[in-house]
Amino acid sequence: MTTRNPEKVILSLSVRLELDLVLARKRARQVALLLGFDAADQTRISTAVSEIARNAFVHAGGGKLEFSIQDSKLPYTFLIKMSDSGPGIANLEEVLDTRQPASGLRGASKLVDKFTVDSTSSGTTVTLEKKLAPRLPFTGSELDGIANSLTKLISANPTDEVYQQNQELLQALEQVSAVKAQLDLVNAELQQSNNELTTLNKEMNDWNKTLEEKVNERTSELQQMNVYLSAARDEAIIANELKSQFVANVSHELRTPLAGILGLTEILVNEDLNGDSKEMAEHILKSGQHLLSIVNDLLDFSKLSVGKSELSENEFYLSSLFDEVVQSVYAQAKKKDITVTDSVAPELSDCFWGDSQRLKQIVLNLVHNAVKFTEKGNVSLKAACLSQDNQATRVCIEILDHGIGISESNQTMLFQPFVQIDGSTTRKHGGTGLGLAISKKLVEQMNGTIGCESKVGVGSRFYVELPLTKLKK
Amino acid sequence: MVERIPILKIGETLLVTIQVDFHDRVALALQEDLTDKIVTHSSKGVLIDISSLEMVDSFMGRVLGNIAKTSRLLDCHTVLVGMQPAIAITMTELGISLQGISTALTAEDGMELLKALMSKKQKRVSHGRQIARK
Repeated sequence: MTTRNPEKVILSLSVRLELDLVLARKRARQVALLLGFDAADQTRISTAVSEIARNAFVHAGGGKLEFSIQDSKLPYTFLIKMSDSGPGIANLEEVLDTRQPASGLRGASKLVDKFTVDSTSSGTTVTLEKKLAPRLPFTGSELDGIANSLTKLISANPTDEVYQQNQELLQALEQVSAVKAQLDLVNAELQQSNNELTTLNKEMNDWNKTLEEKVNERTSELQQMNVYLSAARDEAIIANELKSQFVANVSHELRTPLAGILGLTEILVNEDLNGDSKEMAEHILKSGQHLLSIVNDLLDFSKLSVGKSELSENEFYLSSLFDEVVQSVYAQAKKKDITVTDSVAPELSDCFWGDSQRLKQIVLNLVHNAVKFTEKGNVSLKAACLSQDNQATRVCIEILDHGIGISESNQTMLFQPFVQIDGSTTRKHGGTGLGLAISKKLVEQMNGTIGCESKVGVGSRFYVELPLTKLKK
Repeated sequence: MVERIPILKIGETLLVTIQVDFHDRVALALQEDLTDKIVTHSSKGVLIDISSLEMVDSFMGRVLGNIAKTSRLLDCHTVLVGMQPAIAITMTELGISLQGISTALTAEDGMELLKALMSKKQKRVSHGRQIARK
């Protein structure tokens, strides 16, 4: 009923101590006075409030007392609401029964115009209503005035002031306990999320452990594998050395009988033989010489592989070295109608100091190849100076041809041993496939580099860059 | 800290003036103190001045009633004085009847009443003795 009508609260206080009862009835009297009730009504109201407040204090340990006014509809009323959160009034009808001995509540009901009790097992609210004298609705300033007067009335009495402060403290306490309840709730939530996090963390830890174990397992597997691999590698290296040594020995053994065959065949060729026999003997000689060159290549390569080859040093001129090379391929080039040109940069005309034999072998091999793979056109051999200081002169020797060219993918395999680009070319051009590999090893031994640029059908450019020492005069 | 209401002894009577907040514990303490004093001083009458009391509810009414009944049992009369009219109205409406309590409007009237009550009693006692002598 009271909740339906908008009320203007004048004062509310909590009843917790016995002393609060005194305060409650004093306040009731003061509010009644300020609202214009006469002395008798003031006493009635004060007494009724005392009754309901005591009832709440005795049965529910206290509660909240609220004074308010209802001035939204006639008749305007003064409302006093005492609410507690006790166990409720079980025998409400009996308590209010007029035939029963007088009780506080019933007494209170007789002193006011309207008396309502709303009692459940979770609390009881007793509402008293007292009609106000006919008047205009209360204004805000009027209500403020009442509130101010109440404050002043309190200040008049130090004891009351203490009570009032006590009241305020209690209200603050109530708020604090509400906040605490909220905090507890939040705390509980935090605790829960903390638990969840802990669980998650544990799972993560477990997972980490598993991961670590797996990694360890893999690592040990890898280590084992590494051990195997390095053993295999050592074996392979040893085997390779053995192979090279074997090849070197065998080649050496092969050369001796081959030299015998060649010597005797030469003598035979120079003998007076009839037509067919002479031709056959010449074939034998050619094949033998070819075989010898192959065996020599093998021997060279094997020596280089096991590092047995040593560089010898002597004086030489690049221009005369080039002339010798050109001379060597002259016959072959002439047969295919190819011109071979050579040029040496003027700053390289000095006398050099180094292994001219090896250098010649490299250049010859490259020029030989150039002639071999060129069908027509020309082959040029050039020497240029890249840089020059007191210590060494860096020289670039390049061989250009107009041959069949080498595809890009094949260029990478070019300097591998025993690699010939195409079986068909081998049959056409011959060779062991060791030439470039040997050249590469020799150049590297001389602290140089060897390389190639080529375009299929256009031609190739092979170059050797290496430091040479000028002989000081 | 229970406030105590002072009890003054004047001859055979005890004088109680309630001038503090008459809350429940004070009321109960008064009942006890008063009983003790009646016995200690062999008082014959109690005058309770409630002129500064602003209200009397069912509990206080009961306590005042109990004081009167108890003192009566201890051979002592109780007179309540100075009740404000509004309280009288309220008490009637509440249905509190102070049976066994004599009332007077002022303290002076109250003392007179007490004297009268006590002398009546003494008369009755002397009368009794006279009968016994006879």
